[in-house]
Amino acid sequence: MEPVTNNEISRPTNIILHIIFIILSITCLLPIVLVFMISITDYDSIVLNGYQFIPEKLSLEAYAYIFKDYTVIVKAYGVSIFVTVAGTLLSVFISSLYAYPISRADFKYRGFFAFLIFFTMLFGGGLVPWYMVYTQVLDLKNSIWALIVPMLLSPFNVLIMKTYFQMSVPPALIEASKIDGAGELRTFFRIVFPLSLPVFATIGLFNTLHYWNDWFNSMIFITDTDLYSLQYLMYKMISQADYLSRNRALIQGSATELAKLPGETIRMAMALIGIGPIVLAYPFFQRYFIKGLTLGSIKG
Amino acid sequence: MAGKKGTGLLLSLVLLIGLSLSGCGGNNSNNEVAPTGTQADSTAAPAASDKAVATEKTNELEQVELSLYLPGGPDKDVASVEQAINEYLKDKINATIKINQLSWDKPADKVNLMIQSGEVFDMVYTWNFMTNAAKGAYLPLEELLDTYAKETKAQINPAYLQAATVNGHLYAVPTEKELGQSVGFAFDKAIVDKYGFDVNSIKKLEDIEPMLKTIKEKEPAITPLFMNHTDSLNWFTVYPDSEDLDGSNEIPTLLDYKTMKVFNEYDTPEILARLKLIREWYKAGYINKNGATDKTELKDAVKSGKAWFTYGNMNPTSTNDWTRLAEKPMVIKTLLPVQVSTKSLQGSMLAISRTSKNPERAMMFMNLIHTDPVLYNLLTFGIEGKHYKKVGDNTVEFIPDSGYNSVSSWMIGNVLLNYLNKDEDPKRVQLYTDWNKNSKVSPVIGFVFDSTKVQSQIGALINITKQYKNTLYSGEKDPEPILKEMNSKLKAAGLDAVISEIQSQMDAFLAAK
Repeated sequence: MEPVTNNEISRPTNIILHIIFIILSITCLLPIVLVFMISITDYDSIVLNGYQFIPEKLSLEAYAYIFKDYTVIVKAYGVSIFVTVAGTLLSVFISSLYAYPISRADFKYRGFFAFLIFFTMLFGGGLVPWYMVYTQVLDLKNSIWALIVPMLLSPFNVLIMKTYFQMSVPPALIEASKIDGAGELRTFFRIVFPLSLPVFATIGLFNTLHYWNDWFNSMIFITDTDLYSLQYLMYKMISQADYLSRNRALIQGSATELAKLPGETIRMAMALIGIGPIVLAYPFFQRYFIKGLTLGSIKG
Repeated sequence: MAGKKGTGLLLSLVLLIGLSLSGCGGNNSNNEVAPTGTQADSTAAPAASDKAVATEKTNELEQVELSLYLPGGPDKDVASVEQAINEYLKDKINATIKINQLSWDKPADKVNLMIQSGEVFDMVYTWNFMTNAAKGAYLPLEELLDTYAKETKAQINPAYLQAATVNGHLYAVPTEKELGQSVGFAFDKAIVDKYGFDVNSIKKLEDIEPMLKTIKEKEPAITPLFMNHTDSLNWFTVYPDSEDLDGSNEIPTLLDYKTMKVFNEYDTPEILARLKLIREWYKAGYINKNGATDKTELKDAVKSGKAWFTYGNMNPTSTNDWTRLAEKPMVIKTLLPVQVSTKSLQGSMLAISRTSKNPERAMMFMNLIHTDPVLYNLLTFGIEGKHYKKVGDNTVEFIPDSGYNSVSSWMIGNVLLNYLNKDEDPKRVQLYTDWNKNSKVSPVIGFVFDSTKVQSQIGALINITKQYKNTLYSGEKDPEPILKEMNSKLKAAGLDAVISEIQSQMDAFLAAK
């Protein structure tokens, strides 16, 4: 792309801007460096000296503790990835199948279904009935579907999709395909879907982040370590280290091993492990995200 | 039904014969539990371990699965322990057990959700015991205990059962362990020996002052009195003959044992004198500067040599516990006589859910963990050779990372049935017995404050108390104006209403006694 002369920034301004952004980047990166340094510091020297960029004594104890059970972490990664991929695909599919009909002016029960989804956005049954449905009606306790099903359909996403369909798919086009002999399904998959890729990408991204970051469903429904999601596993490890260090009186006999955990350093090591996938995934996702939004804005 | 009753009678007869043949000896570990099913067999005494009799009994019981919800974990290898337990239980009560470990993050919330949604489960560790019992979440246990857990009832300290009673019903079986808790110090033995401190001369908090002075002068690297945001000197009450009665344990309402009157502990000359002393200590440089907010754990401070003693609740095996945690030899000095209050007894208990399908079998299981060392050690320590190694007759060593280590004996059952951990005090049984003998039971044991009427005031009071407590006890500021401010806020938030509510319930309790 040729630089546009009018928009070119003068050299001094350019330098100042560069300096500002370098400082900004450093302020973003330094805490991560500090977190990394703390995570490899010997816990006793933290107690004595506080946080330091250059640790007096190195120790990989925190990582040793976390990866002691590396199979658990690997499994949790697996669960999180499966839930994210399967959940995103399913929920985008289901949301669009709900949004599309209520976006069509010629759908007879449109008002009723639009109201139904809108209603659930405003009023919920509360935690207990919600829990009862998943544990007693659907019997999903300790099942991987307990991590997927509760987040399949979000009214907010449905409304976004519905609005998009209404704005960007001209009714005349649907009519035309009908005249050309396409059934409803064919119209949806061959005409509406390709035209609405941006909204699918956007909602897909929402769902991906949502599923990846979810720990609440694991906390409520899962007691089987094999089915822990990564986020919950880390949340649990930290709260466990916290709890045990606060309640030393409870620690007797068999829990002694746990009582010796290096609290602070574990937290930092955990933060770094948690950053991992996001750091890797975010630039990749972000590209699509921006593309999706701009595509939408131009067309819509 | 008639047929069932018939077999029950027959069975009782067989049991009685078995009993008379083998004699009545052996009052705990060898005992079997009487089977369930009919009224008739409740008269049958526990049988001896005659294999034939046992088989006949269990044939009568159809196999059921019991679910057990405990804090901690979850452990990776819990399935193999379950399997071992199930094999063992088959001959005993023909039940299998499903251990659900809820981990340490908000287990109480999860159980609340289960209770509120009416989920079917059997046994649960009692978080929020009072609230849940009052709501009717647990099954009343008196009859079950009399029928299916006679041995437990005979051996358990009656004070425990009293503390688990709400509105006249027993709602849980408490873990049999030390009665009550005491406050005290755990000193670094090396320092104590170096300066020849006589820790046994310490009778109250004030007595440590000369030691603080010595440390200040001779050991510049050590903070003479180290405190953090959770462990401050409020462990040491200035009112030894009193008890904290409110449901939260976080607001200043003490009951004076002598007058049986409830009072605001922050509104007396005694507390002012104590806080002034702490202020003096702070000015003398004995206390670390940011004591009210410091997040360093005391054990870590001692371990790294930043502090030389810790303080807080002590139990009979504290010497060992602290030595293990601080990773250096420690000496313990407990201060008050051990106080046994309703609250200290309610620490850990096991209840049967109202939704349980097999409460009789659950009670049999609970009886076994109070009387059967094989089952109890299986549950708390795991499988020999896999989760622990025997290093002595009764002493074990844990295998690191074995995948089963978070079911602790303090949670359930009878602690004294446990094997000794390798680094535990070999005199544990003796220590516990002595401890319990020296315990002073609260004159109002069994009193439980129902806070429903003043719930909102209590919430506000907790916030105020939290806001001021650490600052007051850290010595950073002159206590007098702060106390004044705090008391006026407490008054405005309705402390008097709470006190009079507790007082009237207490008066009613005493009158009924």
